[in-house]
Amino acid sequence: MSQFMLFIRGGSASSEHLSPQQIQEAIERYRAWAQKLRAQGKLVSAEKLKDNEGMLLSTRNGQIVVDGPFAETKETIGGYFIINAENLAEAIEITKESPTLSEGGMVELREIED
Amino acid sequence: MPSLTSSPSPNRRRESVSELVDHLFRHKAGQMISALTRYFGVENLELVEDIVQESLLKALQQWPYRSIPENPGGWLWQTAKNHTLDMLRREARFQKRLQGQIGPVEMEQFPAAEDTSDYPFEDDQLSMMFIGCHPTLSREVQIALVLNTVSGFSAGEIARAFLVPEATMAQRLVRAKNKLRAEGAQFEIPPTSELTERLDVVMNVLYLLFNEGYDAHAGESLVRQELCFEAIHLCQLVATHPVGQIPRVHALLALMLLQSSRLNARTDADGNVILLADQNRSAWDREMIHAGLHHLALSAEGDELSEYHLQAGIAARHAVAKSDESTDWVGILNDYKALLEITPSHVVLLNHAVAIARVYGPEAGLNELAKLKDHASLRKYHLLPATFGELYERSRDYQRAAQSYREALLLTSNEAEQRFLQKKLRASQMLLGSPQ
Repeated sequence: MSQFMLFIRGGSASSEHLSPQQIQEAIERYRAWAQKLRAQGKLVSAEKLKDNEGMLLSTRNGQIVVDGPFAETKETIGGYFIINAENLAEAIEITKESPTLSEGGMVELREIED
Repeated sequence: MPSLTSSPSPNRRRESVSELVDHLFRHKAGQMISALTRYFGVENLELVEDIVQESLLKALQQWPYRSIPENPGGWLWQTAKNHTLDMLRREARFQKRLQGQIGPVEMEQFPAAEDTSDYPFEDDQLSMMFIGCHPTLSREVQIALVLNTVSGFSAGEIARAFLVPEATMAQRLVRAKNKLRAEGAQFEIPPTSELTERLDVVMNVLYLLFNEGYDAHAGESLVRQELCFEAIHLCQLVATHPVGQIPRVHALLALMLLQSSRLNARTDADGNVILLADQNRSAWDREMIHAGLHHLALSAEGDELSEYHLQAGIAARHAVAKSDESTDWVGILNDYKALLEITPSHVVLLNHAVAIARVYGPEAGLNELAKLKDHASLRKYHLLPATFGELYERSRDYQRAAQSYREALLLTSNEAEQRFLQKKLRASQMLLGSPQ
């Protein structure tokens, strides 16, 4: 059993033009997806990251340089899920079912090293 | 707050608590728009809508990673309040967008209630309904605006239900809000001197909204059926408010509930029309009938007899009948006679003729229908020739029946109705060809 991290970018959460009903339906899709994983013991944790507060720190010519905070874009990581999966193939299957993909967002899938 | 991910063994009770009620967001949006409009004024309606939209989106950004809060409605209200206060405190730009009236003292007082349980949203929603039904707006616009502000439908959803382009509906709503601003519309329950008149407008708007959903003329039926349930939801809001606890409102609510009890039995699995006489009566919604009869009883207090009373009475006679044959057609005919005196509309005229046919036979019904033939408002109404067809069929004149169904076919674009009329036409033609 390995652990994988799903970085969530975009999807319906970044769409401003949803109606209240559509927002509720999107939440219910996530709920159904997460509940299925949890029932199978495959959901380890999940957190939302704060909007507009990320920054990039680096060293340039021996000086610490801070970039950001960056404006919110569709490419910003909104949050992450950590899941258990037998192997990469299963992790891909789980990711494919995530509402983020059906809503036009992106998921970066990474395996956590033991 | 319980986390989606904290507990490995699912807690069933807690999960059932976090279940989202149907249309919760839509109805919460309507509540919050109404409550915030009381605070910001009708002139800032669009700003209010922005605040509410952002609060709902916040739920979409957070809940997928956590859990649905135990009191989702309370969470949304709290978020909207925080959002409002943040904006009021931080953004001078925002203060400028407000048109002046809100001073720092009032800002501190906002909002009075800590959570949803002790805030009288009903007052605000009813005031919002009166705003939506403002006398300077056309009926069409009133219906759209009530759906938009009190019910939380988006412009796109209203556009789809009323079969107009989304941009047209969005523009219509913006113009309506501008007009309310220009008129200086006040957010309030109208004063006693105007109340009866204004309440009648609200009732008429809800009645038309319901009918729009009930007589699906064309297009997708599901979104339109939602209009019926929304009309009931809004009428219940009116009926539970002190100003709405009057016989007419109960009669209207009774009518809507009794009619809706048959929604599922009106079409088969393929969307084909099933006439009242042929419906499976066990598929009628008993709970709705029961609630409808309850409100019909409440409507009988006092001596008022409105058109809603008569229509609800007719719907009740159908709802309690064990079969088509055992229906109290004499009572229904009398109700239609009384209704003709109040509203001699084409639908009432037609149904009156049908009731005559049921009581005195198809020939008597055909005589009555013949009187309607030159009625201008019925000339393009497909149910007139369709009813002719039905009565000719019953008097075994299949030639004329077939001719009538052909005429009716030319007048409707609804697919389900066309299929129904085609079926009737074929049946008449077959009977015409076979030896009698």
